[in-house]
Amino acid sequence: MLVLAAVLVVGAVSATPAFAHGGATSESASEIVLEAIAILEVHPGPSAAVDDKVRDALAAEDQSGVQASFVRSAGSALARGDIAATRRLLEQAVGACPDADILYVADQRARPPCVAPAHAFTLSRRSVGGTSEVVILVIAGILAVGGVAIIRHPRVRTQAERGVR
Amino acid sequence: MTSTSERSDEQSLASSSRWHRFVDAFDERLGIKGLQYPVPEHANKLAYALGGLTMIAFVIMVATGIFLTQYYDPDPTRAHASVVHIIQGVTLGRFIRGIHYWGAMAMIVLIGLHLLRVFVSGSFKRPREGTWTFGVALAAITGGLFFSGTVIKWDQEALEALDHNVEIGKLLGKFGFWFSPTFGGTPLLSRLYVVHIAVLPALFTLAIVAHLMLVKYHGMAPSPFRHDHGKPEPTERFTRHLARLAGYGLVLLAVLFVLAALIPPGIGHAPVAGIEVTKPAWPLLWVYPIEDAIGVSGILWAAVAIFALLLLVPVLDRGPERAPRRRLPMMIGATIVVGAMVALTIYGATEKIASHIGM
Repeated sequence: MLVLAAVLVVGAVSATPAFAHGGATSESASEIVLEAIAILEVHPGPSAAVDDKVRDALAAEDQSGVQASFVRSAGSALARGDIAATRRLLEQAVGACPDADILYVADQRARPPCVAPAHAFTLSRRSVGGTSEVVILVIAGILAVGGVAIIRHPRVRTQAERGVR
Repeated sequence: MTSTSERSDEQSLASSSRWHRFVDAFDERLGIKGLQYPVPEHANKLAYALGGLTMIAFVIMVATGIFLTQYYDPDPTRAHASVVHIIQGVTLGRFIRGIHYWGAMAMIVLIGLHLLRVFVSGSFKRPREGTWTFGVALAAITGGLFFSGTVIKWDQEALEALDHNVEIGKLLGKFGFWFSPTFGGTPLLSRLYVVHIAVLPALFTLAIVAHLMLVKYHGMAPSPFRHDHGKPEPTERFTRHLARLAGYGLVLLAVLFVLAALIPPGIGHAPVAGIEVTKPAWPLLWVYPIEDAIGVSGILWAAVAIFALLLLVPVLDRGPERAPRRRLPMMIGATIVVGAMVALTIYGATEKIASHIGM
């Protein structure tokens, strides 16, 4: 943790020019996120600089090593003025391990090793796609036709539907 | 020509005879012809099949749930990664999870509409108050299944939902001990998983057996929407109702297939404690503005109020009249309640995310 803090303070110094210019999208997202963390390390309060960094990180072309969903969550937390949450989410965005001790793990077992970056996955709604999707949709069509056929079958229709009174 | 036609008739008769012999043999051992009892004709309308469709949705949930349990790991340190693995690494995992997700949505909508239909048609009235009570219990269990399912996917939204649950447990004092993270020797997530896959499905099954037994015992309630008063309503065999229900079930399955293939659910990032950056899923969104006003306790009071109202319906509306037009006060009251829930849901969806724990 001390090492991380030292790295962040050094990063804060080097981050100042980017902060002054309101963000540089030629930097990688991971660098910008580290700069944002560094700013928070030095100035732990709400600031437009961190907000700019969050926007820049999301806009950066090189998104490798950063989970954008965490950065977006950090932006939400910052907008609400929750600096601790912003910091934690930014750290998560660049692969820091989640707080294992908050996950309601009973204390009697050994804490597992960090599982980052697998923990950081965010999967949006993306269709199944490919041949599987076509096959599924065809099966769905057959099921729907079968269902309607049963509902409309003369032996299933009611007397009123058959015109019997 | 005649001989060909006669041969065809004979073959048809023989085939029909074979089928009847098969059915008779089956009936002799299992009594399946007992299902051919008469039910009123209106039972075959879609509005009267919503309860049966809810049961079909439940069966779909059990089937897809069994698949998902083969890959899901309820340990808090591995749960999120196991869901990601189901989506990305398991053959048909994204699709089956999609059916489970959309099936849950369908179940919520279907049981809600079923309750509304029973309320509007006055089917809960004497002597069917017990049937209604078991129906309300089934709705509550469905709510529990939905909530626990929301938590076990173990992303940010899930942890925040569980944190709210823990807070509600504290509000319950000694009675909320089960929701304490320190209770027992197993993480709360793992315990909630057991509740989701075993306890609640078992309760649902027991309640539905009681519900169906009462439906059979009392028979279907008469429809208040029939105009040819005085004439007895024609009846149909229950097996015909079952066949139609199977048809509706296939259509429901087809819709779930399409939704699961085209818009399967995603998953948020792994949970980070101590922050509130998400909102609940839409079926639970109506309590969000109430939380804004009075904090987490709003969830508890809102849930208690809505289910108390539902349980009180047979007491509040005791008259023999079933036609909605002659029960205007109840209809207006229900419209206000449902309208308020819809309005709160829309408001909750559009308002800014807020912190509620510790309010």
